[in-house]
Amino acid sequence: MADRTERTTTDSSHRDLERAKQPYVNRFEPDRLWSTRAAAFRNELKPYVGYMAQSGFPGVLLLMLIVATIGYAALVRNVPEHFPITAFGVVLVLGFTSWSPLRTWLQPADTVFLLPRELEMHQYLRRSFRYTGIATLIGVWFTLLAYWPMYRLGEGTADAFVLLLALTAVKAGNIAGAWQERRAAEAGMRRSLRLIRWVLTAVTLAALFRLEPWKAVLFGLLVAALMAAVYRLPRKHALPWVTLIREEGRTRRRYYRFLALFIDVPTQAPRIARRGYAAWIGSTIRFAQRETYFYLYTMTLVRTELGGMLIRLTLLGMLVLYWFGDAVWLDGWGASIVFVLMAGIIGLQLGSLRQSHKYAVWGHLYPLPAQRKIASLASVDRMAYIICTLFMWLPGGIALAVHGSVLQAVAAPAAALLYAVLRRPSAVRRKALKDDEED
Amino acid sequence: MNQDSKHMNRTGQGSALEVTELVGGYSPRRPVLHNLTFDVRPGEIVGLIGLNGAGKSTAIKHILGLMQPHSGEVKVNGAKLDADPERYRGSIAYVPESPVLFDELTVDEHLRLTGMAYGVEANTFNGRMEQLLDEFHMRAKRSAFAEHLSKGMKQKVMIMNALLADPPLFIIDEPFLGLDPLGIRSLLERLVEVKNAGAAVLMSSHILSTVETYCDRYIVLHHGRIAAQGKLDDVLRAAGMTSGTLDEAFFRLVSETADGGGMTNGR
Repeated sequence: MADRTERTTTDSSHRDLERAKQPYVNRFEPDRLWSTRAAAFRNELKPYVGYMAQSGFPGVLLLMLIVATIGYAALVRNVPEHFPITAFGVVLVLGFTSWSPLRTWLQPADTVFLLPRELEMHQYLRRSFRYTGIATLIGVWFTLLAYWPMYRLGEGTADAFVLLLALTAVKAGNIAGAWQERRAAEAGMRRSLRLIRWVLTAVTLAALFRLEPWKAVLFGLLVAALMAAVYRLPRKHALPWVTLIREEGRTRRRYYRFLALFIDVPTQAPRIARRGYAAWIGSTIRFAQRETYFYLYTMTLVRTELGGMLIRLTLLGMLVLYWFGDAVWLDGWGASIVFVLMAGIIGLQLGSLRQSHKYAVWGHLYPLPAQRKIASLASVDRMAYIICTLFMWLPGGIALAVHGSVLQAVAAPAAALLYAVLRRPSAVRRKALKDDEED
Repeated sequence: MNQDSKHMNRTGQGSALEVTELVGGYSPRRPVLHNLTFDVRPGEIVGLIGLNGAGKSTAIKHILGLMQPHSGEVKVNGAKLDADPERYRGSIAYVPESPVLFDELTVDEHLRLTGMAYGVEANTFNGRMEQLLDEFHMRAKRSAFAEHLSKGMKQKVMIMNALLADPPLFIIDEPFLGLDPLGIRSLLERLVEVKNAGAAVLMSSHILSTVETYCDRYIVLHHGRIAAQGKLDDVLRAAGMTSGTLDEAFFRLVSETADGGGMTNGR
């Protein structure tokens, strides 16, 4: 009896201790809540990251980085005559400068439990701003470091320190701007503001890399004033809960989708975009039983973030390959080297299509043979790979052909076609079968 | 292929669903279902009723072939799943308890996908789709994604998909949750229609008054066993009553054995 009483006391004091550690219970401590949640996320990912590290992926990444560095060094040492140095710098630096994510760890349940504490949330959010702001600022500095050797060959006259200061200021402006966008009540308004911000940041960067520093700074200040005025226009939330929760969910999905390349992870609902301009693709698919999964996978590709990523990669590839093709770098073979790299990334991304509908219950219920699903996956994958890589090559290939390097213009797409037809489908099928067996 | 097999059944005499001595559950050592034997014949609606955890959803999963029986067998339209999977699957349309939609497809596209999967003729498909959109008042939402549909609308999409496939057997798990009154009415009207056209329906629900009105026979599941089955009279008799409602009979049946399944009239 005594024993039991004692144990109950220990249990309850232990419980009190546990309770006291919970940041909501006695008093609201935004700082602690933030730290708890950040740590929880790290712990949640830890096991998966281990698998990723063992997979050889970091090695491949390192290798790619080394290859890219060597290639870049070769490019800097021997810049083609008409190479667009400023545009190259803008593309290189723009990403980290404009992209201003915000990890808030907010969850749907917070609209019930934290909402009443809205006025005290600024302290919580300050942690978020610091966390993501510093990370992306370091990214900005790194890209500047990478651009510096190229920059010195161009028309810019600013010294490194001025550029560093100016870019830090542009970054800060973008963080502030991104926050105002999040606060805007309407999705259309958020999108327009973001587009304006990215475009004006790109122009500001171009000015910074090309004009005399004082002119560029003056221009930057004008842009900042303009944006400050524009941001006053929309209807705004004091704290955009729904937007922040959605953004957080999206970020988590990104982590998981990346980790899904290496190991099975808990599935998360994909983020969907309508992409009205591509909706016609679905209706061209024949209405027939054997095309069922072809239809499903095609729509998945068109509507999910995977499709968006492939479109962005293809557009980026078109631009970069055009530069290299038009510059006839390395006798025209330089573009092919970059193409192999870009096509590899596209192929890797596309590989994650097989994670879709892996556990969909309808796959077990439809009156269709199981192997049909894998066959359709392989054909959608092949079709998408061919379309993306050929489109990506087109501008660079045409430029090469115009400059008379015909062999260089056709070799890369021919190789991609051969790979897509002969090699890739069987690899996709094999991986999908292996996945099925493991489950 | 589906159209033929359906005709064979709708004009034939066999059961659309035949469950014989089914023992099943997640772990072979702890079966959840004990010797279930029942059938659903073409042209009838059978109500599957039971408390939470009675084994209704597990029974449905076994029928769908999502779980393997420990012993016993399930035949749909005369076919066993492993012998003729396409005939088996092509004969069932399933409306799950909570809607399972593809995030990336609109309402229209779900219907199209189902039409393709079940091999519906292209000409028939368009007519049926338009009719269903009107009947369930979903025309305005036909281009919406699942994310922008309410719970009830998602349920409607599931029901529309099942009706579009138009198979010989409908398995409908708790369909009324979240449906608005018009939706419930459309669903019930359509179930009567498909029944009159010769389809078989197995429907699980907690709304006993509706079950009593619309079902031709009932299966009362309790602790994984069939506590009673048959027409209302049969269920009443099993509950030791001579008259009353399904609701009263059900309450009696489950409260008699609720405390561990002992027989109270065994002295």
